Amino acid sequence: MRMVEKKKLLLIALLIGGLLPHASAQQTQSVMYQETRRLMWADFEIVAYGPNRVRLAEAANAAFEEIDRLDQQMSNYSETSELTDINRQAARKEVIVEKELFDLLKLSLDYSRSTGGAFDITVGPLMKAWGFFKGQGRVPGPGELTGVKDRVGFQHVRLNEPAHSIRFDREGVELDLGGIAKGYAVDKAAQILRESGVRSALISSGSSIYALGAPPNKTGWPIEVRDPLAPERRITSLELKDQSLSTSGCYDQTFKLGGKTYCHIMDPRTGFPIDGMLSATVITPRGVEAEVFSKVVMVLGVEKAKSCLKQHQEVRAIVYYRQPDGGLGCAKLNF
Amino acid sequence: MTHKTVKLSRRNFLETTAAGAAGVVLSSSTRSALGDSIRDVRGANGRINIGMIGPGERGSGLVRSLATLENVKIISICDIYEPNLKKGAQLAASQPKEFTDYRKIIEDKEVDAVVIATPLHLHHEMTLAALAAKKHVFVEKTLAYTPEQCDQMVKAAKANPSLVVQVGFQRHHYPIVRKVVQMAHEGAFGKVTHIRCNWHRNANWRRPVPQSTFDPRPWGYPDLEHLINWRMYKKYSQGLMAELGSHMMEVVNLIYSSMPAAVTGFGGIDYWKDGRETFDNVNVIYNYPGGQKAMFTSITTNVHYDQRIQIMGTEGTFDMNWNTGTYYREKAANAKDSGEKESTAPIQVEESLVITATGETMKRGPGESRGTQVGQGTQGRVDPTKLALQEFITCVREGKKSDVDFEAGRRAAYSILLANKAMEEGRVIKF
Repeated sequence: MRMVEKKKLLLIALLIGGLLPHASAQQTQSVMYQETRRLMWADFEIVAYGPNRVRLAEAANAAFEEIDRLDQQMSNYSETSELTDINRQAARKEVIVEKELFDLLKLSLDYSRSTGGAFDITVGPLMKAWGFFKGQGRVPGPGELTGVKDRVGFQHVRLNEPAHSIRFDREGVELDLGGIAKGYAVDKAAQILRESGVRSALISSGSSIYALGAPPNKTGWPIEVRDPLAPERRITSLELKDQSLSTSGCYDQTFKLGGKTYCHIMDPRTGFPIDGMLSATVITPRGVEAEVFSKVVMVLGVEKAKSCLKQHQEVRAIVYYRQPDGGLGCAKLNF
Repeated sequence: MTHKTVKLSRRNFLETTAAGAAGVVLSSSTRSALGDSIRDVRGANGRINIGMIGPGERGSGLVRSLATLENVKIISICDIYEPNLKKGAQLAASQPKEFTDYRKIIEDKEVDAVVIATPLHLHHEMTLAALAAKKHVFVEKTLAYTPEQCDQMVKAAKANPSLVVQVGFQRHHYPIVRKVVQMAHEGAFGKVTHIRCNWHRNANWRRPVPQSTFDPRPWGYPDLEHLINWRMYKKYSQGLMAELGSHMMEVVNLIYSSMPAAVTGFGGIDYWKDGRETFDNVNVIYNYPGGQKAMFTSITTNVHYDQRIQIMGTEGTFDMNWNTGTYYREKAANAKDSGEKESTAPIQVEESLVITATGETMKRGPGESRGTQVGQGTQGRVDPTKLALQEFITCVREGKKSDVDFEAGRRAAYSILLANKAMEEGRVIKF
């Protein structure tokens, strides 16, 4: 068995270099601020334009501080996070949850219901059983898988809205916000930048981005989507303005066993990694939605995703998948 | 100085740290019951009703935590700035009554306790009003803007012994802080003679100012910038010492079991010449009654050393941040005040032991880096703000006195207020 770990094979290329201001009268009034911080186990980057670099730095700092707060609250790696506390206690008693986290959990369960379980924040035990948490991929036995699946499923999570509390209906249920938290953080950062008077910024977590306004003298932020089979090659280009984009792909965190490649994206309904899909790039008004649906589309596959997105017209997706002959297939949904 | 001179051998050092870790008690006297006069909690089913004053940057964090405490309800909330007020009310998730005048909260007979997280210059007035109205008070650090105000607040608290008062030093509640204070008092570092603390940043320490038509002049702020960045202006703030140094000095005072005897230092507005009035760097040295020293620096031009406390004793050094720390045993211990034979001989560094704050000890493999790591362990690891508020609520409910009452708050406040005075006047200030 061999783990295949391709580092930072991002499908998204941000053309920041090409956005540097030129010497026009308008652009000389606009300066760029760029900063990257390691948060949520990802490199969060903010690129912002405005008349005053110090003010941009203050706004970016406030946005990063909020992402850091969310990281400390929602990490399931941290012993002190609120999410860890919920996972520790919610099978035994009602746990009161901070308001915004409660709202995010409620939203997550709503997405679970509306996608028939294709998105599920209780998928963590399956990820562990398949070895994706520790980067040591393995195929769990049928008995083990049955036992793990018994602890997976959004229906095991009960929210009490008046008390904003949470309870699991059995031991062993675990929440993992890895499929939604970065998109949520990107949205919150964008909100802080906007409230701080920033009109042009790109916030990126690597897999999820939000384009606030447009760079000086541009109509949007240019984004490249790369070929999932040949990452050095650009396969399509997009321009984003006041929209979010998120990409999920089977190009990172895979393992091979018996000639088969297993992708880290799990179908919570079957308990098995997805098969056949290569990447899904989703564009929506909100980062949280983009991140969720990039996973949902990967799990559902092209045809079922088409059907699902009919109910979500604001969600657009570019999907790459492996055709029966091994070639690269592409579908654009809601475009 | 009440430093204990219990000398520990390498062996019983480990035994002691393990045994004591199960329940570190910093000061048993402060845990005594307030007596039978504790007032009844009036909320239904023992619920404690909170009035929140100032749900801004720090205050909104307090609201988030308060709203997760069992049988606690934020029933009213106050802020002069509407976005903060609305955000606070939303985070409270309890449909609190909303006010822009804090006196409405003080007057509300349904309010059992107030939580105050306003700019520093308002702490004194609001706290005295709350105590006069027989409300329990949790006030953010620093206790007050002047030493005289601190004295008056302590006096008011003493005049109301049935009311719980607590200062918001949430870092006091970090398990590692409690652990290290205990270790210092038990002599694990020998005699602690020097403590070096720093809280460094590489940023201007300003908050972004939203575009708004809000006019804060009726409340004494010439514009929104002064309200949002009140920490920059002397009328409202005591600057880096009050906002950052107070956390450190609270811990140092615990370790030395004393307030400083004298302080001197240098500060200035030397880099961020952006209209601020409070120093952008502070560098102070304290002398404690027993001759021990403490140094604190806070700078805004370099973040490499970030937040650290280094405790230096005759037998060892403890280098910590808020989450973890490493103990380094001195190779040749200073035997000046020790009768133990062991400490006069060169001591080989024990490289193979890891101690956690819950008392676990683990062997370290050969070749691993020098030092004994002290971490928080895995039990009781909760957000310290929530721990601080939980302590306050428990004290209210059970009629106990808080570990971080106004006396403790005054010790920390004096430490920072007199340091500012020393820097402003360029001299040594004796306490």
